[in-house]
Amino acid sequence: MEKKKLAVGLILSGLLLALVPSVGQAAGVSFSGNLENGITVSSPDVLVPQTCFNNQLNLKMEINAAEKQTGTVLLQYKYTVPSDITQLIINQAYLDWQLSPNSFLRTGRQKISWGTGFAWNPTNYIGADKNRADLTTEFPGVDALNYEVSWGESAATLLIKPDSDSNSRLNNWGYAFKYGFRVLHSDISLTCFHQEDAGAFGADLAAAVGSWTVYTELAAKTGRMVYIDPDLNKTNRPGDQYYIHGIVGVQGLFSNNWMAQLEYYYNQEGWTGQEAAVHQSYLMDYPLASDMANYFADLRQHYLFIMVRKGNLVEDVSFTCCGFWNMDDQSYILSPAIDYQLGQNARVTLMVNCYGGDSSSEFGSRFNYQVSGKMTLSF
Amino acid sequence: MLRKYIIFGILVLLSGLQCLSPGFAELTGEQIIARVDDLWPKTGKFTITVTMLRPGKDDRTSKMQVFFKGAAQTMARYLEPAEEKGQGYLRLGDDIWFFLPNANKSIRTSARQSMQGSDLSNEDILKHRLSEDYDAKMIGNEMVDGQSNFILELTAKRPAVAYGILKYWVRKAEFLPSKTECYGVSGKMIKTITYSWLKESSGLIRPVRMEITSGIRKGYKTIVNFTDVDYDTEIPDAVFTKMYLEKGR
Repeated sequence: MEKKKLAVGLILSGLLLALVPSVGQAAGVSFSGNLENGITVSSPDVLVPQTCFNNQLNLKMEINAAEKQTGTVLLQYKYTVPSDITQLIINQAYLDWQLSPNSFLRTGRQKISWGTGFAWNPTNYIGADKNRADLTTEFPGVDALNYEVSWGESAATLLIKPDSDSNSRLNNWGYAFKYGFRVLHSDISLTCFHQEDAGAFGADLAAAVGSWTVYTELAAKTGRMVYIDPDLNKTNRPGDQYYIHGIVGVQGLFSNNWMAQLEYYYNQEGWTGQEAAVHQSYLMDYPLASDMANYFADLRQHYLFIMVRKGNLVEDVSFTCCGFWNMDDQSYILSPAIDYQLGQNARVTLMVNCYGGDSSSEFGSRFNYQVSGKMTLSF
Repeated sequence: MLRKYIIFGILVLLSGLQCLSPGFAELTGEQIIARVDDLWPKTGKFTITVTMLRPGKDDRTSKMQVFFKGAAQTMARYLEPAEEKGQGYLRLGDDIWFFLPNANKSIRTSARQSMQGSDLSNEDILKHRLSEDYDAKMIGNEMVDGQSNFILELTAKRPAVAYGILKYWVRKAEFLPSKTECYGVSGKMIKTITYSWLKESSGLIRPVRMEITSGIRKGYKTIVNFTDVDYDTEIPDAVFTKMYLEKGR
């Protein structure tokens, strides 16, 4: 284990040493980003104030050392009122190296977005999860070394992820490999992933049929987190049990900027009712029982996602409506939103999240509604 | 009297011969559209400035760099405005991907989708040659701005293309397109495009300006100005890959 850590560290250090001198001779630095100011009004809740003001600055700095070498840092500064919380997050910080016209290396904290799904990506083994309540939420990237090579209609990607101290289930070093190719108007990728106590292999596909794109991702994974060991006070991960994790979806692009999307999600990892009953007693005794219950609720097995979008509904106003339906507990979020393009680099977004379901369900347990307005200025 | 008949007969014969000579009368719609396509070079790049004109609103401008190779490969990337910088399109034959930098993901899109709310569809910028996508039929002749034009009717060969029918005006003197009326499959007119070109001494075509007038929304117009047209640089195949779309510079 220590040898692996050392090897990954050495590789990363070597690359940094090779690239940093070039970055030092920077030919140019460019800044871009956006400033978001928003307000969220929620139905009464014990944990969250009813009205929140959110201010967020997303800053991207690019240092072009040479034509083929670039350093990029994406910072996020957040300030929330009335909680008075200030956060400065390094969302991404990586060095790019175009090794040849057909090969590319990126090392550092970066966003990994494997898979063809929109709301979920079961084959995005190393990338961060998404926020179901707001798909636009920006999560910090993952620390990794990313090597890509392409030839003809094919491409291969190798990801190596070092150890981390986070509580994430991906805190051990690991690697993932992807081989992608195009055939008959379809993008197909074969993928695999390995870390010390988990592994996976899978495939994804996106095929264009007229105005429709059909897509799917399917992975067989090991290392599922299904029960709590009360003696060790932590979850146990039997590495030798495979489970299925996948999505299938369809997206239609029509004239007059209409778009419709439907995605079905399946995860065998979460508890069945029987498993939940067996482990209920453990949860009751466990100090962080409610957190664990929420965690396992997130792993529930069936979801449906639907999205309808009409660009330029009226003048510069676009309309989007997203819906998530937890098919196990029958709870849902419905999120209609309108987006107004206010000049060249400004937009105003107004979104309503309507929650439904009983008090023990995933989406029905907290708010009845949330209304948020946001103004974004890009620069 | 006889002389008059002879002269008249010669004139009739000459006019008949002119009709049979290798002039325009023999050209079919397919041949004309092929001649237009041949004016494009094998590879090249240019920059376009797209200005959207909306009644009672400020003009909105974006800038894109476009690379192309052969009939099947096009890459286009937004340089401006800030909100769209880094977004881009890759076309390989009938397959088109759109890259969203915020999501770090390329998604499939179609030829008929509007380009960022403008009156342009993806096909208007990403495809330069029409003969592979449309069947052409000559339907008439017309004078436009003092120049004689063929009028062709182009019918979509397959559903992956943006328009059901195009009515296409081609200047006879240079085989340059001067105007296109774009119709949907239902026959509804979607837009009219007029073109300004320069023809180089090499015979290649150099686009200067396109003006797109919406047939659906009154007063909506998009102007596309072409600059930095470069046909001398060989564009490598590596540019027309998803890796370049997502990470290339």
